Amino acid sequence: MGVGGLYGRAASYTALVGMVMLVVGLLAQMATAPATASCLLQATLGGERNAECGYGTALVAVPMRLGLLALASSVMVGLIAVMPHAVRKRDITLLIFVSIVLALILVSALGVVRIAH
Amino acid sequence: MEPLLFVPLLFAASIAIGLLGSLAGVGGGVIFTPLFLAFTAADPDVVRSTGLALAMTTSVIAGARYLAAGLANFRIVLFASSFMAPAAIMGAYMGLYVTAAFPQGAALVRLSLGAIMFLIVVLLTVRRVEWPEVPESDGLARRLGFPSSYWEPSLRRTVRYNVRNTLQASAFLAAVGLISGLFGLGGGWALVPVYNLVMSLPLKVAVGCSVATLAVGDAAGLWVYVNSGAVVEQLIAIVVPGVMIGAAVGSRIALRIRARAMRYIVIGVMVVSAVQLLVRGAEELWA
Repeated sequence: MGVGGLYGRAASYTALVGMVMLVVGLLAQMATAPATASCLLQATLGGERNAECGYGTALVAVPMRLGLLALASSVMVGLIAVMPHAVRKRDITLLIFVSIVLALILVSALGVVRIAH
Repeated sequence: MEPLLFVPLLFAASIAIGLLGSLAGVGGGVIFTPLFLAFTAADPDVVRSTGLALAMTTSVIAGARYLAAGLANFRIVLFASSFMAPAAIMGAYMGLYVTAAFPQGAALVRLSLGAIMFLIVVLLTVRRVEWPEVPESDGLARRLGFPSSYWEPSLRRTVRYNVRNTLQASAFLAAVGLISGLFGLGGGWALVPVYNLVMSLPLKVAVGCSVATLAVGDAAGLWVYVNSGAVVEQLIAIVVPGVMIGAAVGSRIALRIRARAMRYIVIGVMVVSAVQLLVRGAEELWA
């Protein structure tokens, strides 16, 4: 498998895991605390932001938070997966570009720009 | 409304968006964000973050197939991402700033997105070139190892391709990233013409590179929204799988229906959304 395929596989599997966790969280919320799900969705679509409806239980909060983390991190996971390949092949151009893009997403993920403000 | 009714309704709407987008050859994000901003009262930041999550997830999964098949050039994807990602981050910050700092911020977002939608409609109608003829790659493209090849089943041979205008394309790529982060749109509608008509990549490679690049740019923009608390996980959990199911069904039935007719329907939906965005934005601005 080429380096692109390696990146794609790592990133897409991570995104799929994140997606499944989000769906599990949603189903758990509808089963255990449907009022909170209803409150949140109606408030969101009604124009409210940060509606304090809560998750209900940890059974909902944990998969929801982890699912979002996995989904948003999927591209980073893919880029990290190709780094050893680039080092082994001594492909400097590829390594530089992977490092630049990874650093850019990390800056965004860590909120460095916001902290600097 | 009860969640047992509310969730399936939203899920069904997402399937319809995915189906329509797939049949017309556009991403779900470019239909979802304008429709929700134009016709619902939902917070613009939440709609844009959901649009970005939608575009990113579908691009990550579809991009993996293009990369594995050699239809997306990973070096070009990384080069493009290094311009698109910082621009998408800037765009996302600008979008959040506009809605937070100005009382009429949401109206400004709606108005400018309405105008952008007309540009998208124009770009969707631009004719693309299946196999652009480029005798030689430019110097930068050669140094970065962009010229490559892919197996073309319709020709039963390997097609070699060269790349030109690498530096000029970087400005377009940054502009697409900015718009993508600012409005929470996928950028396939602009990336495919940039890759195909500016860099002269074969159409299939342009589509593959576009899908894979979008995932990186949108991931960078999405994190800004995550950090600002503008993401509602429940909305993503309903909309993204819905659009993905719709797109999967759409790709299966696309061969059996008239694609051109579907494309005109989607363009019609986009024009209606654009007009509604402009009207609503103007009303809110002068209210």
